Amino acid sequence: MDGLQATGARYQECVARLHALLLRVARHEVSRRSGSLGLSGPELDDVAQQAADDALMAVKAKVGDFRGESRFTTWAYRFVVLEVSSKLGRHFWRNRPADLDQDGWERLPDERSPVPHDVVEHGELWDALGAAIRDDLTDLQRRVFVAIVLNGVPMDAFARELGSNRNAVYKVLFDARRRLRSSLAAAGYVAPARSEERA
Amino acid sequence: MNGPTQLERLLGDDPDRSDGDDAAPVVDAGCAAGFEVLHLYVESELAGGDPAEELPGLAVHLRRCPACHEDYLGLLESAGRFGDAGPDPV
Repeated sequence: MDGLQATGARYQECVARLHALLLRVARHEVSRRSGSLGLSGPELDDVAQQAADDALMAVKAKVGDFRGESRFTTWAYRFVVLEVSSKLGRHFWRNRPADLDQDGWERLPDERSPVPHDVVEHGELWDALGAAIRDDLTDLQRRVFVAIVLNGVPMDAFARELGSNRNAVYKVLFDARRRLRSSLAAAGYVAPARSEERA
Repeated sequence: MNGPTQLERLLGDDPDRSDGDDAAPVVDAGCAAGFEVLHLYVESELAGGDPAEELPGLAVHLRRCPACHEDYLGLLESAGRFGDAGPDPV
């Protein structure tokens, strides 16, 4: 591991080349994800610049962890992708209605909620799902499930809204889905989880 | 339209799913641990390997976590497109 652990001009040259690579990936990734965000060119490039800058800091901090099991670029690009996701999460709410809240499921389906329109046509199923959301989830589980699964809010955006992080939100979503599956399985709408079959 | 199947899409897959009737369920790697090996998963896929076999915990997680799945798609695309861009800086 030479360049990033060198000093002087060689280090500066290596960092500059790496930043250029990360910025190219960041611009591509921002463009790939930006379709529904309503961001314009300068805003998108600002996100890409910030993502590349922060990814570079992460790479420099963690380069000692790189064990050569993959190309260095693939290892490093992870940080760009993660930073782009996080930074776009900040922008998500700017063009969204403020009423994507825990009661949103009661108003579904509507024009902002393509998932129920597309995937749940049977009123009986929707009624059962709605009842399970209302009765069987905790407030936090309900908020997370409605926002992420029904309203399509990106997890990083919703984690930011909660003052939490992706990992914690995923755990809540996992538990919510498991609880809903259990409720709907008891009513015969879905197969029970394997652990419940064995119990 | 198959309502139950689509309802299951909302619920995600069985949290105790395994690849065989008698096999133990694969443990979901989670977001943080999954990120630590995401580059290996992508490299395996780009090389024509079987990353789901090599890293089953991450494969399960990517099926369930929309955020990490989106990261995976982004990394797969960028590693394929820009993976050999310029000399290796290390």
